[in-house]
Amino acid sequence: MDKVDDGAASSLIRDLDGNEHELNETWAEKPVVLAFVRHFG
Amino acid sequence: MFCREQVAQLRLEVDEIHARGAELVVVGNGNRHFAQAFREDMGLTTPLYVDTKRDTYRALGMKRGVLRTLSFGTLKNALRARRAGARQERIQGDPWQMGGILVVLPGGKIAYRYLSESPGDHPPLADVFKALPAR
Repeated sequence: MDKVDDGAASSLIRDLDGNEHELNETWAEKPVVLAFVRHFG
Repeated sequence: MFCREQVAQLRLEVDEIHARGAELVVVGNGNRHFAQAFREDMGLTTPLYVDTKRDTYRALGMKRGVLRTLSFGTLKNALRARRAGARQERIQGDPWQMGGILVVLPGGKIAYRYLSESPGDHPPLADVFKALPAR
């Protein structure tokens, strides 16, 4: 099974309060279904 | 329209995702003010993040392109999405960016990865669930 590479895992996303998070925080505690949408429209 | 269609489908499965001990996280590339409106419109209760620079999209190999967007396949998918009730609102984000779905396990192992080839190209949810722990 492939692993998310370090560059992708540490890339930054922002929550709706404006706080930055590393992507890997989303799977730190439990499996995650990560849905990347094209845009908000 | 397609992102709404996809999120609407996933939203219906949130209870099942939680029952499998997992979480649904949505990432979009519009800004967070539009994300908030999108969240409210869609009734999304799970985490929603934005990546306006699209660094995560690039790092994960998500596709992007004008020709991918303006194609016969897109038109076909648009008709399907409209029949399912999805409507195109004002686009907030990069219109040429494709999306995708990953199932990632603690530690970073990728249990499932689907990179959309064109707008409206979404994976079968049954395949997503196969990658999640059983109930």
